[in-house]
Amino acid sequence: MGIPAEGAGYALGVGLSVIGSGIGIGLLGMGAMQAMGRQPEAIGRIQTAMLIGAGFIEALTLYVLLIAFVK
Amino acid sequence: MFILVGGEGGEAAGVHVPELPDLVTLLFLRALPDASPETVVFKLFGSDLFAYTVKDISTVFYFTLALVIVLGWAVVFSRLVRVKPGSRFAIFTEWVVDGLRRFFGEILGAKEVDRYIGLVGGLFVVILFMNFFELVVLMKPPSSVWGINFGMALVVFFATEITELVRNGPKKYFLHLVGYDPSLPLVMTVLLGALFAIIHLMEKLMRPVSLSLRLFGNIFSKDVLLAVFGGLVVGTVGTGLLPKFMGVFLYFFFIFLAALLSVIQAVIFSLLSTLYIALSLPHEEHAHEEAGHAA
Repeated sequence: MGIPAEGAGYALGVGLSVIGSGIGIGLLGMGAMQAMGRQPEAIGRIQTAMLIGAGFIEALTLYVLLIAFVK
Repeated sequence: MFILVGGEGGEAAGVHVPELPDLVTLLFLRALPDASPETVVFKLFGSDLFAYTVKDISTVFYFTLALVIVLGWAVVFSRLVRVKPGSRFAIFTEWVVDGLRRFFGEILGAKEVDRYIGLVGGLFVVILFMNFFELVVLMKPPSSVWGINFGMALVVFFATEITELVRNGPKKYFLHLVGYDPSLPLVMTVLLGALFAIIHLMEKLMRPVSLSLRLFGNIFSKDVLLAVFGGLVVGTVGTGLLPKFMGVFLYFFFIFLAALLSVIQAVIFSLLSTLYIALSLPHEEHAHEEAGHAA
């Protein structure tokens, strides 16, 4: 196999954590779309809150990516 | 390869993490023979503990540059120059400050905003500038080194602790730390208090770590992303794989992503700091009592 073992471990870890954050951001987006549909005049605030929430969830995946870079 | 300069991480594994080059590092590498970003440039007091590498100097340089730009803007606007009230500079600055006051005032409350907007709004603007250094050619964002982010997170940590101590008084601070419940017998209070204090203390200590790691992770990986795709774009332009202009279009998408992430992470850092400070301010007790009487 041409893949080094330790590199494969980190790549697998990043892939697994992206599953979780993908589901999380998807749920967040679903909630945001429903809220926007119910109250079109609050679209701006909902959008802001959605982006901030997405930043938090994405940061969790980036922690794993960071470990992969630093090791 | 001249584009991809070896980064700080991965030195332990012997693998270089690619990063974009920046002006200060390039100048050092040109001046010193056979150097790398880890070369120690000078040692303060001659000790190994204070050995500063090329990377440290370039990071501090760009951080100072961001601070000089933001502080210079503030000082010029408020003191040095007689700014005409209708000029574009005045309107833009007032728009920025007013927008920040409104955005953070929703969390802090209108009474406390003016006291803390300097810290929180200043953090937001400085982090925004630092992140945007990524997108300028030959400049490096200082937030791609963990030390800078940890320093800012420590400032926020000390701000919240001191705010809580000063505004609530040391007795209330200690009782909140311990989770005091006056309805329990003494032994239970002490035991539960000790347990709760440990958890609460750990949560307090984790806050600066998570704040700084979030910003550092985002900016550092964004840096590596831009460097890797920059190398790919340059690598494929010469070959027949992509027509020459396609590489630039691809890279434009990544620059857009980087700009979006920069803004979002600056907002998140300052918003979380505001939340922590707002949580440490004295709570309004009257509203609860009124609701209890009305019900």
